[in-house]
Amino acid sequence: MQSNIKEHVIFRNPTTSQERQDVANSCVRKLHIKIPALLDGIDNRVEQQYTAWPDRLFIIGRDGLMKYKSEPGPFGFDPKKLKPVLQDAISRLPG
Amino acid sequence: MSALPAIATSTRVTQSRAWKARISRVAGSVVVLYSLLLAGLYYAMLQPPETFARLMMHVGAAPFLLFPFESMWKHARGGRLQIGDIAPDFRLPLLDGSGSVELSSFHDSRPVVLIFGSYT
Repeated sequence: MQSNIKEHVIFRNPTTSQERQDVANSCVRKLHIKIPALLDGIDNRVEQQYTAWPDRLFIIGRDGLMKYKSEPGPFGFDPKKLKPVLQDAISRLPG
Repeated sequence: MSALPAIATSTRVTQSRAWKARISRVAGSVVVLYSLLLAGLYYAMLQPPETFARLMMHVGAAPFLLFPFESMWKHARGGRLQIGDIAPDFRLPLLDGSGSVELSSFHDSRPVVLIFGSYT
């Protein structure tokens, strides 16, 4: 995509876990990601369970239930919409 | 002499009908072609990411201009999970190699925000 070229994000699609790890490391460095980053298997098992590609946001409550599911990215990737749901989930924390 | 204007009128009517028929055939073909491409694009959206990405590499920006891409995408990639469902559990390795994380380990502890992303 043109945005990839403009932002110098040009990678061949990884076909092995090591290649995926290299791409993910580059992502974390370039975007200064501080939160824990997990790596899905090359079989994309978790991505398929959550229909998450290319990007998507979820909130899982303390009870293990889905509290928020964004529309599929890139169109539905809007972190601002997390706030009210997250505030509600935090308000229900004991103590 | 009086027959000439009638013949001229009849010819114009015949030509007009022929043009209308031609335009109808072309319009019908365009509708059929558009419908097939729409169905093909929706089918592609249901495929694994690598397959979809390979297709988009060849067709460029045309689908965004010609079709209701965003609506189709949201529908095709909606997914089965609903609010209130049990979130599928998983255990995945941390990128820094320091261990792994299991989603269910946060039960009864705190809510979790999952941010899925792709960098290619």
